[in-house]
Amino acid sequence: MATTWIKRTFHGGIHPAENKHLSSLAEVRVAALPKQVVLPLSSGNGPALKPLVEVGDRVKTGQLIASCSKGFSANLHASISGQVIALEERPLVHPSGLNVASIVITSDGQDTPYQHPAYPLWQEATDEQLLEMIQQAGLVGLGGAGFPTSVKINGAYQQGIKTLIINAAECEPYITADDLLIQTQAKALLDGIAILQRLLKPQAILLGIEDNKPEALAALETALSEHPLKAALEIGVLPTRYPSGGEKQLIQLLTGQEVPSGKIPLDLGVLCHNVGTIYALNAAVTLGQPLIQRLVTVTGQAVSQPGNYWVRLGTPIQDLLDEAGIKETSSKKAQRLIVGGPMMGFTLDSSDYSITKSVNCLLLPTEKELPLPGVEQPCIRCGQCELACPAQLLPQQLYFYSANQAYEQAADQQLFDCIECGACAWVCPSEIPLVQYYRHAKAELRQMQAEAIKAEQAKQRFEARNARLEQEKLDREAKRLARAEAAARMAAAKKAAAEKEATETEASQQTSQQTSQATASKAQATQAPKAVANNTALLKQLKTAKAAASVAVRKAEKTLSNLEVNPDATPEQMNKQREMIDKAKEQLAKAEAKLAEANSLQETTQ
Amino acid sequence: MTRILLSSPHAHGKSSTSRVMQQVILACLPGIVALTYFFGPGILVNLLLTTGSALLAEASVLKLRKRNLAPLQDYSAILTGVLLGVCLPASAPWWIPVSGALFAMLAAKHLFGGLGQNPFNPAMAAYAFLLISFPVPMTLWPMAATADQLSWFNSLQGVDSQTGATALDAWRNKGPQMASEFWRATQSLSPLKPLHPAMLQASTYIALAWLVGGAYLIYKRIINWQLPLVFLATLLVYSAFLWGIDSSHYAPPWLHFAAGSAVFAAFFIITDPVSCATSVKGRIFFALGVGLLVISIRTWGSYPDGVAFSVLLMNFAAPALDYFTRPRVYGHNKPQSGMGSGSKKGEQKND
Ligand code: SF4
Ligand code: SF4
Repeated sequence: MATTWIKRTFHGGIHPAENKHLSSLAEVRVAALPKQVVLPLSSGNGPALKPLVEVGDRVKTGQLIASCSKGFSANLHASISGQVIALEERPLVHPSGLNVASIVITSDGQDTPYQHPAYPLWQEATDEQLLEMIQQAGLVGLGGAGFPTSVKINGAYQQGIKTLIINAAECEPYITADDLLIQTQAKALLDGIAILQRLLKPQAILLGIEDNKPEALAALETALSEHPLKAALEIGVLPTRYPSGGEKQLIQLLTGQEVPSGKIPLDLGVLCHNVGTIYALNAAVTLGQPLIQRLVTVTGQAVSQPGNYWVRLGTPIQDLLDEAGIKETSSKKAQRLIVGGPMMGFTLDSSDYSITKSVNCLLLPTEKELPLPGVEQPCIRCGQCELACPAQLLPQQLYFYSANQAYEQAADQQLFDCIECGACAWVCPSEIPLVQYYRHAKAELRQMQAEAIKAEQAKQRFEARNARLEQEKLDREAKRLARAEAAARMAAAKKAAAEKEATETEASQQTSQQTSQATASKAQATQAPKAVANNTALLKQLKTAKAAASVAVRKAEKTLSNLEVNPDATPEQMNKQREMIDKAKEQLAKAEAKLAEANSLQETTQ
Repeated sequence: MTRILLSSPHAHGKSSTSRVMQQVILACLPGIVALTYFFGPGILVNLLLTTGSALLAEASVLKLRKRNLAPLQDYSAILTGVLLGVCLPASAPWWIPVSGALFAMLAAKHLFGGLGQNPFNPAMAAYAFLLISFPVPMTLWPMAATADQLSWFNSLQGVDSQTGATALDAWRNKGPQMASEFWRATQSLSPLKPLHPAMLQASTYIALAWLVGGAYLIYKRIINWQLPLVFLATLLVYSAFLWGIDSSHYAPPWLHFAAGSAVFAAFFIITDPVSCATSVKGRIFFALGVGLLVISIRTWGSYPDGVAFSVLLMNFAAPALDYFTRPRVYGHNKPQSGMGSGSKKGEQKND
């Protein structure tokens, strides 16, 4: 279709210094083949993969080395050819800094490829074949989120979508990987979009790109002019404003719709993919190339040769930094290694980590470039943060509640709609690390929720156990009653027999008294089981009556104690309440007496 | 090599609390110059006394609370001193500014926990305190200078300067007099005229000076334009309405702008973020409320200028405003008002 300049906006947003020129002016380089790679079996979220190789195995580049049976985590492939030398825990590039089981491969220097089937003419492949290829290739969202691509695409395939959105906004300062990818690979990118078009048949395909990437936009337009997608793809040029590339903001900008709170874009019939992911998808389908490398921006004023590098997954970060060259000019205190951009990236404590699928940028700023945070000052409620918040929250209120540990109120202020974009903290004149407070509050709330669920489960278990015990007791009771009934019947039969004998043998001596006695005992015998049954029902009734009475007493007493502490209560009210308690108590006593009577009766009949 | 760990974002915009305060103080300059021009150096003396005592009070409180003295550099104490100082009559005895500043810092600010915690605007709280405690010196303004006769030359030369009723005071005290008679008397040459034209002229120029400073703050995005606009519009509409009902009894709308501290308050007082409502919507209601109260107090209350009391009353209402004006959050159909539904839902789940 055409290129449109998007006029719609989202609430708030900021204009941090972009500093994209640092890395965008250099040619894309291919990083040297690493001597060793470390490939984690888990991305930190989602189930861990099962390794398919053992220590000592030789592997080829692109060979599948770990997979997840359920497909919830993306497959893992060897990113170099060589030998598996270890299967052990290694530190993972993740905000929480955890260690995860990883496969370590040393290179044989050959980079021998493993041949996967490919569909250069993907138009001829069936949907199932395409989906299978995508699933096999181990794709994840390369924008940084790292969610398995095939899970998203399968969901969209089953459910059907209205809009396919390609995220090329790249709103984070410093990062230029998507920019350079578009500039160098526009055609392949469009092919990837075409594959998704064929699979998902969306009514509209929208690509969002910020207006600070004119070269990329031009490259896209040129490639599009002679591409079959020409009629279908609409490029939306967005005014540069952070965070326009946030998924929710991008959807709002391009479609005018908001993703309902707690829902995902798919619920709106929207599927969002980053350009890097689409490119990798195309490579997977048309070249049979699984995800074994990615484009990484290495930038910051502490880097001698900032730029974008094609890096094999698992490459030691130190290798990449050596290649790009580091000039540490800041004091030791200010040396930072940020994974991702300055707004949402996280820091690593050293470079002893390896590149994973979700590392899109390594940022090494100098102290002057990104000064260390100043002293946190009190919130002056200036409202700057509210003006900046793209989620339309009141960050100052979220902060107030989070800082005062009123986490539930923070949740009530929709803390969970915060996307942690950091716009509020960026504008805050008091330099309050707001996002840090929100993360902490969210973690606390999740913890509380988990505990509540646990407690609820424990309660249910306890109740189930009580119910079982109760049932057992009832069963025992029923058995006992059955026995008693049988015994009574037997006694009656005996008596009847005895009577018969007596009448037969001592017929002559029969007296009216005896006859009456016999009939009486006969009546008693036949009545006995009935009485027992009646009695149990009665007992039950009495028991409930008693329980109800004691509840009434307790309630009345509670109301009284409430009244006592209430300064507005009148003496009449109090007296009335006391009367009610007395009445309730009387009832209880009566119920108890009746129950005791019935109990003793029950015992005697047995 | 180990590197430091920090939480995102790693970048920060250029604004800082002390810069915000500096800018506000800077924006006060035109007003201060105008006040000094018309009412003499007493204004400057007041300002020195208020800012000095405010700083001293803040320092000693911080010492007492065993906090470090860093907050002294945030200019907030100086700003409070300035905002109070410009409200005081130029001829006030020295203990008026001093006790006012002490009240502002100790009772209105630090008693509540310091910067950011005070529910009431400290300068207005101090002003109200002074007005109630010392009504006479607080309403005694020196006669304003006219362009050709600067009152502070007189005072420097030891000439006993007259006092003049402020325009709003004069209007208040006109009693059952008709408006037309009042204005005629003002124009008359009689020495007993209720309102000296010089006073009215002075307050008009001063209001204009505040307007200049306020425009600067809006230009610099230190304050939102919504607040002053809503406030001044409320004043205009409400006073015009009353005036339309009975122009011989109610003050003409322009008097509400030209006289008293309405313009000053519009840009410098109701925009105080700490004691105001915090959401944009809440602030609009805040400004509306102050506007309605100012006109009401000026018209029917027992004080000539109602700004301080109106602001304090609305400070009181600010939490409630925040409670009912929560914005609609992205992805939600309706704004949530109150603290309500969310936590209640939670409770129901627990039941
Ligand atoms: S920007 Fe900072 S100081 Fe201003 S209201 Fe928000 S949290 Fe408070
Ligand atoms: S981090 Fe959260 S609260 Fe702050 S601006 Fe972003 S979405 Fe709003």
